Amino acid sequence: MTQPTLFDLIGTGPNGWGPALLTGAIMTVLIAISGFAIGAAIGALGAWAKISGGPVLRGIASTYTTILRGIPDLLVIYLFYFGGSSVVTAVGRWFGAEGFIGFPGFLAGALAVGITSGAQQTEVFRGAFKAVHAGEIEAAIACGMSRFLCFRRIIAPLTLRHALPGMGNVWQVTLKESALVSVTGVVELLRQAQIGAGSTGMPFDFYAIAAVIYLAISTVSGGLLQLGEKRASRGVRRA
Amino acid sequence: MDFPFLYETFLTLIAALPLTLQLAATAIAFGAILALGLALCRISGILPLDWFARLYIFIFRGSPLLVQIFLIYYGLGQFREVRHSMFWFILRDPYWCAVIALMLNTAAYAAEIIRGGLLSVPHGQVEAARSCGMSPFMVFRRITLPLAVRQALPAYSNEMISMVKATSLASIITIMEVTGVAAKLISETFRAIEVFVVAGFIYLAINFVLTRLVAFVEYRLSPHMRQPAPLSAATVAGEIR
Amino acid sequence: MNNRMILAAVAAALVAAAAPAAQAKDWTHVKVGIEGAFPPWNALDPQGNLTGLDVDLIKDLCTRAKVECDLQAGEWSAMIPSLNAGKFDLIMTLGINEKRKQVVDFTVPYASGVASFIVEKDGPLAKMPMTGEKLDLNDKEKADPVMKSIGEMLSGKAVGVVQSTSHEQLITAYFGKDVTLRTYKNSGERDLDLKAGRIDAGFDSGVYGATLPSKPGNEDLTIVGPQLKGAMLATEVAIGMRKGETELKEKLDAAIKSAAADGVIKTLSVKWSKLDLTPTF
Repeated sequence: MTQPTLFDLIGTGPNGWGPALLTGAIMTVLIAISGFAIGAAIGALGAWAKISGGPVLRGIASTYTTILRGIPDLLVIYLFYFGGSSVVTAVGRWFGAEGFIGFPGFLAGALAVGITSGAQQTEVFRGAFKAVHAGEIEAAIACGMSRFLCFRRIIAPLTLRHALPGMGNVWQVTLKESALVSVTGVVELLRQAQIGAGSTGMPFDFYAIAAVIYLAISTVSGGLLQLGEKRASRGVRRA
Repeated sequence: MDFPFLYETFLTLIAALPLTLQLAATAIAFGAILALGLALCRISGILPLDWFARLYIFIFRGSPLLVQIFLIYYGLGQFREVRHSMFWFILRDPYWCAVIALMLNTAAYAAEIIRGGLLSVPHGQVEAARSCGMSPFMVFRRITLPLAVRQALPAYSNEMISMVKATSLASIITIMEVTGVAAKLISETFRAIEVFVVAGFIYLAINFVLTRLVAFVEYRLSPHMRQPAPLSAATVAGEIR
Repeated sequence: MNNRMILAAVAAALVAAAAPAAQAKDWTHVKVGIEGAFPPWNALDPQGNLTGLDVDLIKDLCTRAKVECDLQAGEWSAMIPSLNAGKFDLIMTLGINEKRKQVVDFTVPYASGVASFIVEKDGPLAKMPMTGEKLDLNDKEKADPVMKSIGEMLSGKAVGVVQSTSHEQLITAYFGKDVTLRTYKNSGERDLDLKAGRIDAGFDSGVYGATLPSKPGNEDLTIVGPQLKGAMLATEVAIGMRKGETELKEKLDAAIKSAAADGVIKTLSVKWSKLDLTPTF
């Protein structure tokens, strides 16, 4: 049997892995986006807890960020994958749910990625909030805005503007971290490449293709993020 | 909580700690040298060197470390030419493959950190050194590099922590470091949560110590930022006499 | 009751509270975990669908047991934890051995296989004794001298196995410190390292080994040494399930027995592995 060429591998023919790799890439993007969104929600909560929470909330938030920044992400993913279902099932039983509650690999992966991403975004949001000029908030209060209105009109948009570059970095990290989900059997890009490498005996080709696809995703999304950054900081005078 | 089991797990995992530390230390040390080279390429002003370094950094920062590890370990082994080359005695060994992958990866991140540090050195300092008659190499060795290192240290410590965490990926290419042993323990005991809690604790402890060490080095490197130490009575007395 | 007993009782209660208790359930829908990286037992095709002997067989068994089966691929070393966590209700290609019996229940075996070594065709290990002959490790008189001489050949060499397999347990038990044991996530990655020369031999299911050389890129690999069974080897392949699911076990046991009697297991195993793997009950 002859070795297929690179073109055969990524083609759509019977031995072609093109469609499979594409599906994998879409899965990767989905996991990364869900993880990033979960992370953003956690990050906002964490930053709020760290900035204006009481000692207990602050303690919880800083324990969370310290732990997540100190242990390997692979461990977090394993923990969710192996431990996730039993925890969910136990919690479900408290609420009277019968039997086992499934915990699909995708959800476990997205949650694990989200929780690590959340620790990073907590710091990003906190830093961004600190960069908001105190005068702006004082001015808003002086205008008679309620706390919520002040948050919605002044703090949130300004924090977001300062947070965007940091969030861009976290997004890139999250995208790359989604590759770790492959160890739990979720068929995303890297896992698909592994399957292909295993069944054709051509690991170099498959991993190289995977690397190129990752680079493409991160370049395209990086470009989009820069556009967003530009839009968020329109009205900022440049030196 | 099954404390005897946790204790036993701890003892088993701690035996793999030297390998984790060795992996991290080797990768960080080699990576730092490579990173310095890349940073110098970036600021050299020589276009081909600059482009090479940019491309390198783009590739290694833009793709997941796990893909890089697979590419180096399984990917390179695919070629007969590589297997019969002089490099095979290194690439044959999963330990060195992991070190190479971690080193190449950390170099890309560290290069940008070091470049930032190098660019932060005030012109006046360099000019002063030159006007004292120092050669360019001596200026670099005595003035630019130490100042850059001090400036880059906080960011670099984050990168070192990332590397300690990244060594866990070596378990995927059959290396029995802490995470590898943890995975093996799970397959034997099927008690995932306890084993990973202990493993997580070990990594936290390493990174805690590492953070303290860097903070100490930073403290030693920036005496000019501190309040002068109060003179003790003995030295004062000595001065007078 | 002294303190230690109270502690033990509390610990046991905690474990009981945390561990999912087996509940009587009306089985109509069953989640089956299959690795998908262990041909010809199971594999994933380029479209991401599970194929293989396990897949064909479980579909037949589910029809016989009148349950709806939902097949899912998963990482091998996570199979038993996933089963016990409730992600899967059944896991396939699980060889029966004592260690696993402590944590899961088994159906009756659905296939009877062997285990053998895989090496490079022109390597020094290709001359292993008893190639192609069957050897029962429980027949110590006959088996122990053979294993001793294999141990001498393997001394100082590296042997690759898949993590969490009975193959891993056997190499550790028989050869221990004399060989370097390298554990992989799946058979495919081990074979890549075997071909690359990073390890000297692989130890795996004989059925896997038998179909291996016919696949592209594996022309240099061959199976050598005796076809082993017995001892801790889990060559009687069954379906694993959580402890205490007696109703599901009865259904599947009956299905497997009737599939074996109808010759379905024979037809399917010959189709996928060229061997008749029909078990004896």
